[in-house]
Amino acid sequence: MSETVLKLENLFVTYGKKKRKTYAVQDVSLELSKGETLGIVGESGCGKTTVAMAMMGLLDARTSVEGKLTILDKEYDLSKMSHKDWRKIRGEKIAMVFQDSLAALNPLKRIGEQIAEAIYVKDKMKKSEARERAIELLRLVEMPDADRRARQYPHECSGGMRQRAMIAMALANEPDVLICDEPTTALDVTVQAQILDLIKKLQVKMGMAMILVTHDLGVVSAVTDRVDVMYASKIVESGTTEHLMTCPSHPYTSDLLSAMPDINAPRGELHAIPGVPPTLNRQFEWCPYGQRCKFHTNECDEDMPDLVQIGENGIALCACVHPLLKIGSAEAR
Amino acid sequence: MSEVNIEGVNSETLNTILQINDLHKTFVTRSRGRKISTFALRGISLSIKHGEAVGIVGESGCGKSTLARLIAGLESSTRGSMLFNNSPMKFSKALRKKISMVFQDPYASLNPRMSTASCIREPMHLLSDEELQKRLQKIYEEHPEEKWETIPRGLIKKFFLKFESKRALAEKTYASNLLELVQLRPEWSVRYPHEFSGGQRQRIGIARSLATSPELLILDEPVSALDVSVQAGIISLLGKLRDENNLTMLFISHDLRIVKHLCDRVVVMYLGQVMEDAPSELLFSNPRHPYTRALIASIPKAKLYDDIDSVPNLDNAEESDDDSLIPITVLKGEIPSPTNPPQGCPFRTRCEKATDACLQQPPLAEMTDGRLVACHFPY
Repeated sequence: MSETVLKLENLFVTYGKKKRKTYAVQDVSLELSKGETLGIVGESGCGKTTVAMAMMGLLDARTSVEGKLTILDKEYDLSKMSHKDWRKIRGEKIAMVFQDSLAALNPLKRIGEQIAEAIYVKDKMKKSEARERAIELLRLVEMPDADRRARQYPHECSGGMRQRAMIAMALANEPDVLICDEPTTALDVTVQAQILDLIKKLQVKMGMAMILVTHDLGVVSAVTDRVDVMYASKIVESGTTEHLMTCPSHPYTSDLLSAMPDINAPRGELHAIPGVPPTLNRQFEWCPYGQRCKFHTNECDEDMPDLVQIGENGIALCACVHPLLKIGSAEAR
Repeated sequence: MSEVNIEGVNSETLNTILQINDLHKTFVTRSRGRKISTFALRGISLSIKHGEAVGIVGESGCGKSTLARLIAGLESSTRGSMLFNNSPMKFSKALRKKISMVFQDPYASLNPRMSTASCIREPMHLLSDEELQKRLQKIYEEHPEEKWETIPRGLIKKFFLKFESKRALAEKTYASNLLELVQLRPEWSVRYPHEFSGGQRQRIGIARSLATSPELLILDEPVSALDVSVQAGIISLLGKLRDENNLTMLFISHDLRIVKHLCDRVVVMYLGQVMEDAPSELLFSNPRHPYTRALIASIPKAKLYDDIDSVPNLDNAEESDDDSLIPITVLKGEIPSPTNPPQGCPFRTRCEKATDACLQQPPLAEMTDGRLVACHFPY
C-alpha cells in the first residue's frame, strides 16, 4: 500500500459519568492511505459520527477520549489535546463536511464570508483577498452563479447548494484528510448523485484521503475503496468495498446487505434484522451482535472476538467467532 | 375489506376506488405585503383500483405529500375533483373511516401522553357498535382458543368514561388484535410511545391507521426516518398486510428502491405534475420519460455484482482507474422553485432531450404498452 496519511489507534470514547456512562466507541482503529476513500457504515447510534468527531476534536470537554492519532508521521495523544493543538490540525490537516448543512452554517453570515473566514484565520490574508478566494472555491465546487451565491445567506440556498458551500469551506485550507459525515443524507437522489460525483472528482484533483461516514450502503459502494462496518461501538468488519459488498464475512454485514432494498434485484422479501442493538452502558466482553445473530452459539458469549484476518490475501478483517465463508455468505443472502 | 364485490364486476369504473381529475393546489403566502403563490399541484390526474398498491415518487418539493394530504382530507384543493368509490369526496365521518394515513415521523405522529392502546382506540370512535362487534366476531372465529377478556385493561378509564364498559372492553380487545397484526405484543398496550423504538412506533402508527379497516391506506414516507435493518421489517409487514387484507395502498416515498419492492404501479411526479404512470416492472425495466430514467440512474447501487464470479480480480483493483468505481449518472441542476415553475414541460430545464417543442406542455399520453407518459420525446 502507499503511504499512510492518517492512523487512528485504539480509540475509546465515553460519555457521562459513573452509572450513566455510555461507551460510545470501544477500541476503534483505522488507517487511511493517500488518495484513498474509506467508508464507515453502521446503524444509527453505533458510534460512527462519534469516531469522526473524535478525530476532529469536536467532542465536548465532558467526554473522555483516549487514543492515538497519527497524521503524516506526527503523533497526537487524543486524551491530552488542548484547543490550541486542535487548531493546528483542523482545517489544514483534517476538515469535515457535516450532515445537516442548515444547522452547520451560520445563518447570520453570508456564504462567501463564512468561507473567507476559514481562509483568513489560517493564512493571515487580507479579507478582500480571502473573499476572492472564497468565490474561487465556490466555482471549484461547481456552485452555479458563484458570485451571487457568495453574497447570499444559507437560507436562500437549496440543500444541495448549502452542501456545496460546506464542501468549499472544508477545502479552504487544502486538508490532507476530508471527513464527510453523512454528506448526502438529507438530499434527493439526483442531488445526492451530483454531490457524490463532485466529492469524488475533487478528491482525485486534490489528492486527498477521505473518510465517508454514512448509513447508506449504496453510497458506500458507489464512492469508497475500503469499508469499515461498525456495530454497537465497535468495528466488526473491515475490507475492500468489492469484498464486503459481494462476500461479507461478518454475519452483521451480510444481514445488513440483505435488509437493503436494491433496484436491480427482483421483487422479493426483505430480511429485517430482529431485535435492537445493545445498550452501550458497559464494555463488551462478548460479541455485541450475538443476540441478533442467526449463527449465535455459546462461544459467542464467552469472549469478544478480535478483528482477525480473513482469507489468505488479507483483504478483510472480521470480528466474529464463526466468520462466514464465501459459500456460506452466498447462502445466507 | 371493500363492500364492492370485485370478482365478477367487469366495469372499469366500479373497480376504481379513487379517481382524481385535474387536481390543483396553490398555497398563497405573503411576504412584505406581496402575495406569493406556490403551485404545489398543477393538474394531477390519477386513478387507483381496488386492491392496488400505487407508489408515488419524486424529489422533495414535487408535491407528493401535498397530494397525500389532499386525499386524506387534511387540505382542501384549489381546483379539480376527487371521486371516491365514484362519488365526490365529502369529508364526513363515513369517509374518514375509509381513508387513513400513516405519517412520516414516528416520533412526532404519536401523542406522548397517550398509551398505545388509547392511541389505537382513538379512531375507533368512528365505528358503530355493530361494526366493532362484526370485527370482533371475525377475530373470535380466527382465534377461538384465546381468552380475550384477560388482556390488560390499561390506564384508559378516565378518557373513555363516556363509553359503555362493554364497548371499552371490545375496543381494547380489538386494539390488542391490531397490535398482534403489526407484530407487537398485546401486553405492550399500556406502554407509552417513549418506551418504544422508532420501528415499533411506526408499527403502532400502522395499527392505528388500520383500526377502522380503511379501504384506502395512505403512507407518507413511512420508513424514511428508520434505519435500514428496521426499514426492511416495516416494508415486509406492509407487504404482508396488503396481501392478506387486500388493502389499497398509496405509498409515497422518495426512495425508488422501496417503491419497487412494494408497489404494483408507480407514479413519477415532478413539480406538481405526473411525468410517468406505469406498472412497476415496466417502469423499472424500461423507463420512458427522461426524468424517470435520470431518477433511476441516480440511485447508488449497493450490490455491485450479482455473484462472486463476476467480481474483478482484487489484486488488480488498485490499478484500475478510480472513475470506474462510480456507477452513478448525474442529472444537472436542481428542481426549479414551485413558486415560479417553468413554462411548458416542467422538466425542460434539466432535460438533455429538450427542444423548443418542450415550451408546449406535453399531455399525459398513453403509450403503446399502456403506460402514461408526459413527454414529447419519450425513450
